[in-house]
Amino acid sequence: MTNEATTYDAAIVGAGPAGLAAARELSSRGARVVILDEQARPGGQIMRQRPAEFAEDGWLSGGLYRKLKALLREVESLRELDWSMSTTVLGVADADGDEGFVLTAVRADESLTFRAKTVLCCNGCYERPAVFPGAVKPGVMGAGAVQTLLKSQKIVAGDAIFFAGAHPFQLLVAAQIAQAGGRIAGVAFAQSRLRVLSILKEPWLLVSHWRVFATAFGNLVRLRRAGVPLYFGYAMKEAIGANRVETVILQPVDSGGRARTRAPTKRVDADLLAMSYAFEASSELARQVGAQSRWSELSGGWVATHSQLMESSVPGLFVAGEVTGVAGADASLVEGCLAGLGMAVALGSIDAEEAARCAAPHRRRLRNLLRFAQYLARLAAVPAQLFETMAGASAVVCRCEGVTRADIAEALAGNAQISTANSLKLFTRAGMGLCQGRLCYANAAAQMAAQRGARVETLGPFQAQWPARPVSIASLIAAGDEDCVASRTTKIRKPCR
Amino acid sequence: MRGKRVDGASGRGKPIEVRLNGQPVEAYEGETVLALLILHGERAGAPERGPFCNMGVCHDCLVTLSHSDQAHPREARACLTAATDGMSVFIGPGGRR
Amino acid sequence: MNRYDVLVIGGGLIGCASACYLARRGLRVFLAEKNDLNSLASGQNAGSLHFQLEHRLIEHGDALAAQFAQVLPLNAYASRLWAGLEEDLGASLGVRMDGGLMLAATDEETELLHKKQALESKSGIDTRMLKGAALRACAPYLGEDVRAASFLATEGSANPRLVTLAYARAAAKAGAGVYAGCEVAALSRGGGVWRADLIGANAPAARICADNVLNAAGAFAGRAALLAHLHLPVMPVPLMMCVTDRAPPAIPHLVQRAGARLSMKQARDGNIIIGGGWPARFRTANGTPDFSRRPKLIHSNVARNLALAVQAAPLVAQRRLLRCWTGVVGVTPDQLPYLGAVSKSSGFYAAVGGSGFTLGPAYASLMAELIATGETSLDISAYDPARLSSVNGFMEGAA
Repeated sequence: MTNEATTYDAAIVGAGPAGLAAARELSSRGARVVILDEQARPGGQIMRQRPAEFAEDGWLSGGLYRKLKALLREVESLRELDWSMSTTVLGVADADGDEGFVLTAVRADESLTFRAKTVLCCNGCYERPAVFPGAVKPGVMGAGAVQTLLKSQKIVAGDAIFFAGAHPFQLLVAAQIAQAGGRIAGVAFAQSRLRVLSILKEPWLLVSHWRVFATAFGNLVRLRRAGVPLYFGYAMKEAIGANRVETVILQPVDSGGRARTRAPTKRVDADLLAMSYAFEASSELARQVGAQSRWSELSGGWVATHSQLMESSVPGLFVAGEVTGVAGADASLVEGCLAGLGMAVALGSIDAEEAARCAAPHRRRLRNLLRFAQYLARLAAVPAQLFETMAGASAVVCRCEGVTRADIAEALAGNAQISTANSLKLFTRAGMGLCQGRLCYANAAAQMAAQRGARVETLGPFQAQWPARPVSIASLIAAGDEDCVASRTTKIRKPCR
Repeated sequence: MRGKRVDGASGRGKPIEVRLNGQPVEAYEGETVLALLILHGERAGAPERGPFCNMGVCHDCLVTLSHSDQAHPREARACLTAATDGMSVFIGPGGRR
Repeated sequence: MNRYDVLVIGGGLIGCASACYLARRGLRVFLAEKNDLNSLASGQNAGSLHFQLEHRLIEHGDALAAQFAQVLPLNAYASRLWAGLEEDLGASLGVRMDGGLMLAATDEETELLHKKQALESKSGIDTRMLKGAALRACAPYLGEDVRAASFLATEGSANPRLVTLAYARAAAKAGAGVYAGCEVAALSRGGGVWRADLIGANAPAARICADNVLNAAGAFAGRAALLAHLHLPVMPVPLMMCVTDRAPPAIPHLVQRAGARLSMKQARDGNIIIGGGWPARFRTANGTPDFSRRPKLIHSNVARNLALAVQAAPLVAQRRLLRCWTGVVGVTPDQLPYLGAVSKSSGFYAAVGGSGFTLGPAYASLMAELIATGETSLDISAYDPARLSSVNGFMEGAA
């Protein structure tokens, strides 16, 4: 099935808080909207829903999720929305000559095409894996992966789970696992205890975001009471084990992330290591269309730039949520509201003046949220030398292609002319595998920047190419023009259509 | 068995028959193939790597799926695929073991 | 000292290889590349080493095909160069010369292959026709639609990601100055030498002087020639390529199609690279083509290109498409390269033209020989840019 006959007013890629908020805004103004998401049910990673076959008992209880869940249920009940779930978007392109955009996608190996006058890319972020010996071993996952397995699948993914990272997010996940009856082998922060507790120094933040802090401190206290060992100023050194993780080795680091070689390392037995060092904005879909991005060290790497109403540098293409900078679900929701207004202006449903009036409260709230997010990002910032310290000389940087730090160092040393991340990719294959460079870019670029004495922003992102995910060739051909594909003659180049 | 189902079988879909590398395993409607791999201590797709993201990015949970009502086995990311009654799961792309 | 024997414009395969061969002949060489080395067609092409007459050269009837057969001695020269190139440059380049097949799936295509083979045998290119059991034994991966194929043992592929940089390293080792991020902004001539004004983050000087200029700017060689007030008509053509995920080794050959646009090979890493000259689309800005942006992929062409690949080798249908990319190649109006002096009086040379990957090392080697000695060991008069004298006669002396 293709939806080529329909031209939507808006196609929204990503059914998380930003996408849902934009859909609500647009729907209320009578726009014809389709939401696409790779997951089977809407909600995004923050609200990864249980499968329909599961009972919902106790799913995302707690005040943190109340507002988000209300939005989800409201949008799910909107009749006039079209949903294309379990749908992998491969690309967004401007429709040559015609107004708007064409989205290519695949669902259960069936190729789909959507046309839309405006597009919102709000496809979130992903976790940045740290590079250290043993980091690709089975049993090493992102803390977010461990959390979504619990939230959505009601699975505690290991018998003894160790958390290592620099992001307070890991406290939340550890507490949720403990509450579900899982055993936490320990939680290690790269930062010092003092730095983690320095939140207290910012009273205005405590007042305006008391719920977040109450939750974080509640988690900390709960873990302590449960006897979970907490390590401050420790980072991953190695994950060891025959076929999968059996033991994690921690190394003490100073405030700059450098190894304190005279202090002893720690060994902890665990069969699952959940890491939470940083998040990367998933801006590649927006960049594929040509949207401009800027480098943001603290909030997700290459993030899409936008106007006040979230329009990217490509007219009609909007961006919201973590794609514009990792700032959390509340900020994503507000950006989604703003994007909805911006798209309504682009569609001619409202004039700019009314949009500005409606946007004003959202913008005030967003300023506040972004201020908090920036504060949190500085607090959670990975100490300058930390990734370097953990990586050692020869750990794997590109998981898919098995490219190591040593391979990259050698390529850079031997080829002075490699001056962009893209040329590094072409030379070393780092970034050429199935994840298409998402998981190795930050680490490869950081290594290159250090070795070249350059800033990462001067190296550029990896080129964002089509398809945005690897896709079955059989399904692409099946979708091709029947006449062309069936042609078995030398006249195969005749213009088809 | 590694890790565990919170509350055991309660609150899940009804039991279904799923084979993992030929062996029948406990499974319930709604569970993803990745959940089954994790519970059974399987390392999933890549020869020396484990699944990392549970959100479709890393492709380190590729499996080959066959089903009695499908002519051909197909490859899929385990994290984005719900297990279904009668499904056979083989580790890795192309059923590589 | 900013005085050189040769200024090479363009850091693609031909530019870097020319710098290497010129420096090895003892000439003082300065190579200026405004972007990264290998960043355009040299690094983006499919990496085919094709020495049979291509689809694009035989599709326009016998007379033209015979004219294009002139390229065959050059093919043979290039084939010998490639065979020893990894050893010569001391680098792994992914060179694989296990033979190439040009497929026929119709009677017309089979006939085309026979005519082609007759032309090739006259020039000492040893293609063999394969059919039936012999064809299946040679290439068990072929689909049932394939009726016949012409096989050439020396064909194959190399890795475009590696070759240019290996030449650049060899050039630097031989004493050439190789500068990426260094653009020639202006050329002027006085006192019998070229003066080049340089801009860019890595330009080592604001101005250098050179006795000769070699234009190796590929698709954009026309612009570079205009710096010297000369015309070099090279048309940029936007093309697309596809690559699959890693597959178990199955396709040891370069695979092409006689009557349709297909080239396919499996890299050492297992990925299958699929192309064949399907067009992409230039992006426009204010109504004119914007060459500074990557051309836009045409999805229906991806499907058609992949369908041809699956028809040739059905195992491709089981693979995943990993990525597509677009690039720009330079095509000359008569599809023959420019190889030689554009302006004999002023030492302005060009090494530009089709099949720039397969023939790039040969172009470079011959140009180095020409610039260093004034003659070449292989007759390249058919490619002499003097065929543009009807235009450049007007331009001569403007520099």
